[in-house]
Amino acid sequence: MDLNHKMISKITLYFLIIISSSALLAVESHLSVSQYIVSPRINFFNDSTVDHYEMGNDEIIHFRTDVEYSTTIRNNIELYTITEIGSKNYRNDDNFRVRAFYTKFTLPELQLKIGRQSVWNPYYHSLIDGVEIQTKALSKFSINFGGGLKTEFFDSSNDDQKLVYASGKTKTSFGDFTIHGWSIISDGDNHLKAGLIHKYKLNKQTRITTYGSWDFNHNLPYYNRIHINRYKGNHKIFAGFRQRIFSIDDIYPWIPDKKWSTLSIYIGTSSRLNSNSTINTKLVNRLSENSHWYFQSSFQYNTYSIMMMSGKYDDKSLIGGAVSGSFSAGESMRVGGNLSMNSLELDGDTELSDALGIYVWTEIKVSQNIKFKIFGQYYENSYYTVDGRGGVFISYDF
Amino acid sequence: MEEEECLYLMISKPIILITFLFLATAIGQDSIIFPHNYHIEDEELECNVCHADVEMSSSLQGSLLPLMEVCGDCHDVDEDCEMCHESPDDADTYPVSGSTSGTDFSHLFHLQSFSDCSRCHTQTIEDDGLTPRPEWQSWNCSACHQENKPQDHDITWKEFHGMSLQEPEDPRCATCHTEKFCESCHSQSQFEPKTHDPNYMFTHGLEARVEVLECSTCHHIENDCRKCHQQNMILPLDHTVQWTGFDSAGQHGTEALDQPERCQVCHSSYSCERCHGGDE
Repeated sequence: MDLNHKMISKITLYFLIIISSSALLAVESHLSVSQYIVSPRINFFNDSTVDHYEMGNDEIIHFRTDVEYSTTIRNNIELYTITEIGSKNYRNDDNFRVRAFYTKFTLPELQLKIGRQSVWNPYYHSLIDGVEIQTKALSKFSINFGGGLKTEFFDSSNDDQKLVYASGKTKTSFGDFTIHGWSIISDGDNHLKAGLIHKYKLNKQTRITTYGSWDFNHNLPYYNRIHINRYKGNHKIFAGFRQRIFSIDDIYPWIPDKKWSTLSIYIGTSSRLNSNSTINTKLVNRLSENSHWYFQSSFQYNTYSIMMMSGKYDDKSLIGGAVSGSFSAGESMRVGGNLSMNSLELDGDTELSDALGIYVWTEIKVSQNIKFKIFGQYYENSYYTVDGRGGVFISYDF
Repeated sequence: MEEEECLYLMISKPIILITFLFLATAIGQDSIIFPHNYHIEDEELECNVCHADVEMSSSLQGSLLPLMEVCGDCHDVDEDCEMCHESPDDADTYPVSGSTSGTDFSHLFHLQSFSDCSRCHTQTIEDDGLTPRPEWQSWNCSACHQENKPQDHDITWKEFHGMSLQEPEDPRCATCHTEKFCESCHSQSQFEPKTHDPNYMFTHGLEARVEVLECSTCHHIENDCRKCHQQNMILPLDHTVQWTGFDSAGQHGTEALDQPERCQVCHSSYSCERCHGGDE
């Protein structure tokens, strides 16, 4: 880990601000720290590409420390932060990563959030350095705007994209309506989209959720979905379809029909057999020229589960499953694991590719606030060939 | 250096703002002296005698605190100001409106399940009106909701909870969960498999073809797929020798016409033009 002078300054300043604000202003505060140490580093990538990401070839240990801290002042001002100090990897080119650092002011009809924050939305979630305003004054309205847009919460790279996201919600006798509009501004281009979500309770047993959105730049639908739930006692059947237009005409201008969409339909059931057992099934079919389908069924009993899956695409078929479970080994210890086995038949009768994955762990609760977990992973498949690693996870909750 | 300056600015501005607001709001405030313990224990008053609207309240949009006229039912509110107002000369207008917690709450719904107010308002009975009144704390909710999950957290909640979150940052989630809880599944830098079984690296191709939009719940398709497949030279398992045959187009032609969005994860138009000459 390259802890140079700038890095030390950043970390020191960050924690100085947190500690001083806590000491001066805090009424109530909460701090949790978790640490991962894993060895060897996750290295399924070709070694020759490691240098490309400056991951540090000589490091065999990958570690990460997460610090989550929140403090409340006068019940309506909250300071919240999540930060991470850890090894560099292909996603993070900096050892010190601030994933959240904002102040939230809650007023009677208004909530204001300033700083680095995540944007959780049905159509888009990301991380921005900016502002969020929520108000209930006119039904419910929310707007986020800011720069440094990141689509991955751990991404520490610089990004000059900007996001503006606005939504409003209203409840009517015909269900709940939410209108969303968002724009990603990048290199002077404005990528504008808008969508509507409607939730409707047809009767006590049946609920329908509908998504519809529009890409104004390509003048095409962007994302559509209908999902229906029907309940009967402890059983539920659900079905629906989803479709998203991928605007690829900029990339492959020679493709004759440029309005490509991915339409998948699905149907499934969920049943609670008794207080300890559940069973879930799902069948998905993608309505494309080469029909692809995927089936998954799982059964859970207490903390044990078995899952079977199969699927077919083109001439290839995939089968397999997983068993997992955990049990208490004394008052403060828990042991668990997961074993997965799969086979892929690549082209009829010529080739069969197998995969094996094992994950085992032991969790020990040292006290009410401190626990640690030892885990090991083993993989054997065509990506890793043979690979294994182990690690420790420690968490403190203050 | 520019990046460092931005970081310092980003950190320091909110802190200065917090300090200013804290100091501004802490100076010269009136407050009400109301001993809940005396009214509940000695006078044996029920909560709804003063908080009459609570039983029918389904949200925290309006105030549930009593108006001064309610106090006037028992007290001389025109003469004896100091009995209730800490700073009678600087008396504020009461009640202040609405919730400041950021979380909405239906008293109506909860009182249908249990009628004992002290189940949540645990410290109210000890409130003597002199010591600072206990502020509402989020753990009052989590005391029950950590164990008693909401009705919609059924067995398919994990799979479909995204659709239930119709509005941005649904305040109901914050009752029990912090952002880190969301991130623990919705981020990819996990050392332990959180949402996928250990073989998912091997099997994900099928699910990605059938339900690519499921992937997009957490993964940015255009970026994340490319990061692994393109930058690390990892070929999809179906890119075998038959993929582009010497004597025929192989499978890739059909696939490219059927699912070009899959190709664009790694290939630009140049990949096609290199063989096809840009005319096909």
